[in-house]
Parts: sequence; C-alpha cells; structure tokens
Amino acid sequence: MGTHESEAAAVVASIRSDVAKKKANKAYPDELMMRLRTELALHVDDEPLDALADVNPAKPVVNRLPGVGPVIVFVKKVIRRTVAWYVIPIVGDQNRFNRRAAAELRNVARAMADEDRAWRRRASDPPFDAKLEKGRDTILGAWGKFVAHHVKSEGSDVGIVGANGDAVEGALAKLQGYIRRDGNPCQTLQAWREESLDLLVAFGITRYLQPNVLLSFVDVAMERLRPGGTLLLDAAVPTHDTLPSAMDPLMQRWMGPDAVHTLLVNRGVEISVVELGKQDGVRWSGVAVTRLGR
Amino acid sequence: MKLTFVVPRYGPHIVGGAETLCREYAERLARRANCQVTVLSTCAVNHFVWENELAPGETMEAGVRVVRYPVTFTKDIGLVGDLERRIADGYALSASDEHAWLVSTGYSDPMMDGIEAAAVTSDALLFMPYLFASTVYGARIAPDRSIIVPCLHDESYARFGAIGETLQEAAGLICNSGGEADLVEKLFPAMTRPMVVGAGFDIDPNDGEDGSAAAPSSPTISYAGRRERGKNWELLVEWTQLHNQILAPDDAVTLVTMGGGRVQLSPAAAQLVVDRGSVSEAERQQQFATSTAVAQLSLNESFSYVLPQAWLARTPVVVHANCPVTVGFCQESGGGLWVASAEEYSDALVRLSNDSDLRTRLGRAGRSHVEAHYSWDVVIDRLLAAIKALVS
Repeated sequence: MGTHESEAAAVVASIRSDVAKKKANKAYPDELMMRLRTELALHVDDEPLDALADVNPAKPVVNRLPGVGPVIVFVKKVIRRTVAWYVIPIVGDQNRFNRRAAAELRNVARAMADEDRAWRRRASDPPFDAKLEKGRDTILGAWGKFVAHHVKSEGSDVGIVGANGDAVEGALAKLQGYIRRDGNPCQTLQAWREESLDLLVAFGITRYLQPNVLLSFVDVAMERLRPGGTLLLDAAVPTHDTLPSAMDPLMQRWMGPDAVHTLLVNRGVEISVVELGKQDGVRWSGVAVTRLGR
Repeated sequence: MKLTFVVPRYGPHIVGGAETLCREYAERLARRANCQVTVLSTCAVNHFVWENELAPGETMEAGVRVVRYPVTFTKDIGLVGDLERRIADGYALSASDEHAWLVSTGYSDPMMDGIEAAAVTSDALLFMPYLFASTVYGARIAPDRSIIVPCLHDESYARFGAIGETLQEAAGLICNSGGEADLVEKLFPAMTRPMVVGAGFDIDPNDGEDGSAAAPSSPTISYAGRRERGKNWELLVEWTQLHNQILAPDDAVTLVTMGGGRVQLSPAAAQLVVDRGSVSEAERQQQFATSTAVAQLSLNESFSYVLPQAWLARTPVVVHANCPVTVGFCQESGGGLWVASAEEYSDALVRLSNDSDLRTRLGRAGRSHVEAHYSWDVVIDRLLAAIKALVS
C-alpha cells in the first residue's frame, strides 16, 4: 500500500507543480484568473469574529533543515526578542481595537435583532401556536373553503391542501375530501412533499411574519408547488378611518399588496394582485405568486 | 455488555448520515452474542419541525430494543431564524442564546429521565451526533459512562460553549476518521485524542480484484449526495464548467450526479450535468464503476461514505485539499487525488481521463484500504474495543 500512497501524493505534487508552472508562464486566461480570485474564491474560515480578534505576536519559529535548522531558529528567536519591545505594544493596540470593534459589531447585530423583534412580537404576546388554536393562521385559511368551492365550480381538478384550526371548516374540508393539517404554517409547509401542490392558499399569514420569515415561507412554498403553481396570499388595503377598529391586536404589521409585491419582486416569481372584497371596513387584496417554468 | 444509544431520530426511514450510522452500529452490535442494545430516541422524523410523528413507547426493531419519547419543546422558528442569522454572520452566541438554539433541536424531558434510568443499567451510553439536545444535555446526566460519537464538522456550531463543555466532560469521544479526530484536537486542545472507528461496508467476497469494473466509454465524473451549497456542489459544477470550457476543452467530461430532491441548474450547467436523481445502491455502484473518477469537493465531512463506495467500485476519487477528512482518507489509502483549485481539479481530470493505468492503480488501492479497514466485522470489533477502553 505504501507504493500507492506515495503514488497518489506524487501525482498531487506533480499536478501542483504543473499548475504553478502554467501560472508562472501566464498560461491561464486573465479573465479566468480574475473569476477564480473573486466569485469562485472559497471561504473556509468560519471562526467566530471574537475568536479572530486577538492577534498573537509570537508565531512559532520552525526550521527543519538538518544541521543549520536549529541555528536559524536560534537567530530568529534572538531577532524576535530584540524587536519585542517595539512590536508587542503595537499588537496590544491592535488587539484592543479588534476586541472593541468585535464588541461594537455584536452590539449592532443585537440592536438590529431587537429592532426586528420589537415590531415582530412583544414578550407579553401569547406564543405563536396559541394563535393557531383560534383559527387565524392557516395555510388554507378562513376563506379556503370559498376558494375551494370556486375552483371546483370552475370545473378544475386542482388538488387543494388545507390547514386550519377551525373545527367547523375542518369538518367541512374532510367531508369534501380535502386534506387538512393543523399547525404552524411554516412547519406544516416544510414537512410537505416538494412539487406536489397546484394551488396553495395562505391567508392570514403575511401580517404575522417578519419579512425574512415571509421570504423563507415563500421560498418553501415555491418548492412545494409544481411549476406553474400559484401561492395566493391575502393583503389588507387599510385606510386611516378603518385601520384602528379593524386592526387585529395580535397582528404584527399591516402588509398591503404593494408591500408584498415589493418584497417578492426579485424572487423569480410572477406576481399579480386581485381584489378579494371588503371585510370589517378593510379592503382585502389577494396577491397571487406563481412559480415560473410550467 | 449492555449498551444504550441515544439519538434524536431513529429508524430505517430516517434520512441522515449520523442517524444511519447509529442504526447500523445498534443492529450489528445486537447480533453479537454478548451484546444487549437499547436505543433511546424521540418520536420526531423531520429535524426541521420536530413534530411527534412516531408513536411513543417501546418496540423491537431488527433485534434492537427502541424506546421513543415525545419531543416536549416546541421550536420557535422566528427565534431560531434570528439566531441562525447571527451565527451565519460570524457572531458567537451568548450562553442563553446557545441554550435557546439547542433546546429547539428536539428536546424531550421524558427522554432525559429515560437516559438517567438507562445510565444505571447500561455499561455505556453512546450519544450521536453532537449537535442535538439529546446529546448536549443527555450526556451530562452520567458523563462517566457517556461516550459521544460526535460526527463533528468544522462549523460554527462546533464552537458553541455548551457543546465544548459536554464533549470535554464525557468519558470519551469516538470519531469517524482521523481528520475528525484532528478537528477535535484543534477545537478542544485540552482533550485527549479521540479513538477512531468509522463506518463499515458490506464487501462482496466474490467481487475479486479482477472484477468487472468497466472502463468508462467517455470521460465521466460522478457525484452522489446532497446537491447543496454545504456540500460544495455548486463549486463542483463551476470547476467542471471551467474545465470543459476554458481549461481543457479537448478533455471535456460529463458530470453525472445522483441524489434525492430536486436540483436547480442554470441553462449553462444543464448542458454539462446529467442528473439521475435518486438511484438504487446497485445503480450508484454501477455508475461509479463506469466513471473516470468520483468527485467530492465538500469541506464539511466527518466520514464521507461516498469515498469507500467509489473505491469498492475500484474508481479513484477527487477531493478538496481543504477538507482534512477526505484528504486523510486519500493519503491513507492512496485511492484518490486532492486538489485546491479549479486548475488543479482540471489537471487531475486530464490525467485520470488519459491514463487508465493510473486510474486502475488508484482505484485498486482504495478498494484494498476499504477491505482491510472498513468491513463491518472489523469496524464492530473496533467499536467494541473503543467502548471497553473508554468506560473501563
């Protein structure tokens, strides 16, 4: 086996040597070299920022040359000691700056996360799952039955999947042969098969999710839809006089159709807005997000 | 010997390298005359949502006593998303945030009680893998008889303070490869070097040295596994594109990929890649046997099953030079080449495509290594010896 081991290592060494020679002879196109240094560069250093903050001024001094190696090491150590009075304070200054910068960056990240949380959910709010029990958060939501009837009346054989905490609608869905699953919409959706749905009605979702979670939700939804399938979200169109009375106290924010459109416009999907009607003084729109590539 | 495995998800339908390895260990140990094996697990199947999908309680599965407990902590997806973002940005989490993240990985209160009870009756508790509540909290209950098979990757989670505490308090660690043991030494310098056991393979004794490995009809590079960024799948496609289009168009190769799920390819990559999707084990081995090489550029490997699988088909591998585990395998076996750049990757492909003797020698060296060190009997003997050494 020793022969094979050394053969593999020898081939690797030969490859490296050939590549080094070609680079020296500028055998590779400039455009390629630029791409390799930039977009294809591999980042393997994922140590936490804090772990990288402290620079060690004393690097190990090693030389394995037989005979002169120990002498070279001794000389280098003497040089290191000679300049230590000058180098070590500079490294100390650098380390103080690094630690402070890392701490400041950590504070900024915390502040941003707090900011996000502040308009997402208050600590005193009931947990997310508690809201599900009231039937507000649904994958095929409070209007799912309506959509299902509408789709069926059009003569379509589109499969419909529903999730709702509402017992009456659940029973109806069962009677009508729909599949119904209760639970957190993101979790329920994540567990679903990929490319298995034609239509996904996700009402009562947008206003509870922070934008990055909504984007994740839409990405997961797109994976679960067949090409050409549609995710239908709802979005309120509030006005100043109707907003306060219609505002659900558990809502995190209003997400109007324009906001949903802006959020999703660069996700590689087709977006269209449809009117759904008025309820409790609030005009509701539907945002149809269609997966491309039928 | 009474052995208890603790793993967050268990069963033949569970997808995951560590979970599969745990089941193999448990079932093969249970077949040994002097071993009684119990597995403690949760009712969860999906490690994203941790819903209790399997029935709680005790069953016998392939000779192994399996006890499943319900997950009792509901994952807050929003909070975990926030923490993930901070981890991805390179920030260390506070102890409380680490806890919030860890309990969201299928924590089960009754399972902790089960571990406490099993610690009294078992000679050793084996926890797999490192990054779950069942290991991080479970191994602290009886650390003197807790052995962790961490399946460690060089990733941010491995630097959690809570994980370091658990690993260092345990009776010992068993790693899957020398490269993984090196990583443990790098991250936890105070620890003694872990023992190395690894996974085993069923080797067909009739499949001799002069077997039927077919010569590739045209240069083909094969890849099997998850086609995702974490496995450097995109880098493999990019480097192969560069090889075909710029670096060595005269020695262009076809990239054949296999794996579950859906793969999205750019139009340019679609011309290069033949994606076979999910294939059977036999189909995969046939594909490997008729390939110029099997490529695995992932940096996050604690064992990498695909390398021994390629070698069993007598096909050499090409791995990334920055992955200590896969490079270590190639150095130990002589069954593959390690490359650090697109240029080196291309050069390796040219040599392997044009030198069938080199390809054959490397492939045979890899197979000999697997036969000598990774047959299941050898691996289970090694595992039992390691367990006895660590808890004695």
